[in-house]
Amino acid sequence: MSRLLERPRVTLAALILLSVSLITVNFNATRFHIGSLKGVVADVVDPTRSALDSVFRPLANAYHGVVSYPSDQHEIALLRARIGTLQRLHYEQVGALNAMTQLSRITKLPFATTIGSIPAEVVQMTPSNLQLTFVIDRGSADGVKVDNPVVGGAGLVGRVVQVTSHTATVLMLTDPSSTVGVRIPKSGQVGAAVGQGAGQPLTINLVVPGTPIRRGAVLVTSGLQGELFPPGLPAVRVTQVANPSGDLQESIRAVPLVNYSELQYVAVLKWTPGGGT
Amino acid sequence: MRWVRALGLPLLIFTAVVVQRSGVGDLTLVGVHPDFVMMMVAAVGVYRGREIGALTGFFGGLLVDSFLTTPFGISALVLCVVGYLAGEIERMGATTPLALKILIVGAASVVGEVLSSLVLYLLGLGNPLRAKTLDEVIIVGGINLVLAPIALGLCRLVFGPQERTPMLERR
Repeated sequence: MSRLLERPRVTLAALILLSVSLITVNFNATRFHIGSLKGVVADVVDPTRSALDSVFRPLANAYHGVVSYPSDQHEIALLRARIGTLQRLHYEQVGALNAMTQLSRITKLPFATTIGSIPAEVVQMTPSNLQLTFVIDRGSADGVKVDNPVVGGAGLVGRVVQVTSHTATVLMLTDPSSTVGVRIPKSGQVGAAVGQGAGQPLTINLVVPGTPIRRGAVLVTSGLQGELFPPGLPAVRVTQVANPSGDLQESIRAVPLVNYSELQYVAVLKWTPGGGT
Repeated sequence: MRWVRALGLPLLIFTAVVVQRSGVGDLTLVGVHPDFVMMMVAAVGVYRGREIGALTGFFGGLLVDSFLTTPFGISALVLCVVGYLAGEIERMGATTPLALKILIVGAASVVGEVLSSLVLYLLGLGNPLRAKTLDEVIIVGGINLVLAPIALGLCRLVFGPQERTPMLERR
């Protein structure tokens, strides 16, 4: 009996009883404000904890780095894959939107309302340094003929130079062998837009010095007799104008109205030089 | 020096609580946090016997409860039992090898974790059969076993060398 009631056991029993009482009291917390007691203890401990934290934080970070490295790597790989998927979806959506815009434009060409057209998709940009052309998915079977003008939503793109039964090759305006007769607005002066190669602006030749023309002006096809294009098609935008003294013509630079690198849909106009529509 | 010894025990437990609350206590192994307070209580029990162990566990537990949202007194209940059980080693006398003391700290921690789960279950606050319980028991016990020499060393620093005469023989 005396062994049973030895002091450590009595102390333990008292402490257990006290603990159980505290737990019971805690369940009736509306009458006993244990929360405020917790707050006091936290106020005492927390400043010390903060100081200790600043000492141990680098060690803790190093430990985290070592222990969680494999799982972190796995998570990084998953996140990278997810970012890749989201980027692909984003690009697909941007591409679809771009295509829809281009399609919408070529179905309502304001500058070729009287000329019939054949919508076509660009299937290949010719991978050659010698010739600036691209291939479309419409050919002679669809009614496409050599020398048919090709337009995009913004304006003239080029002309058909080669036709197979189901494809056609279009010469870009920027190709050095391309020449388009253009008319300068207001003055009515005509000139020739000559391609200078990939990435280079076209030069507008044969414009009489002193002809009023401003940067940003859109030049349209002249449509003179024997011309390769019908009149009134927006062709190029002027980017640079100079009038050196003594020259026989104005120095004018211009760029196509369409961006060839983003070109996805075009319309082939059912028009041939001399033959009309 | 005597007052330093007198303040030593509260300081030891306070330090354990602060470390537990600091970034060190935030560290996890397989999602389980270490329990430095339980380790220190067990070490004090091993070093100073059942009664001091139980009292240290009780007051240390009250400090721990101050930071938890579980009912006030749960940690006090568990830790006083842990301190008492670890203090049972005093029955073996002064010849207890260090390895056994270390083992007792680890074992007391395992008992403490099991007891915690049991108390929470009895209060309707946890399920002791969840998969994580076993992880907690093994990891806390393992960490405390590994760190027990440090805790025992701190106890020696605070309390001085252990008396050579076993308590039971003294009676």
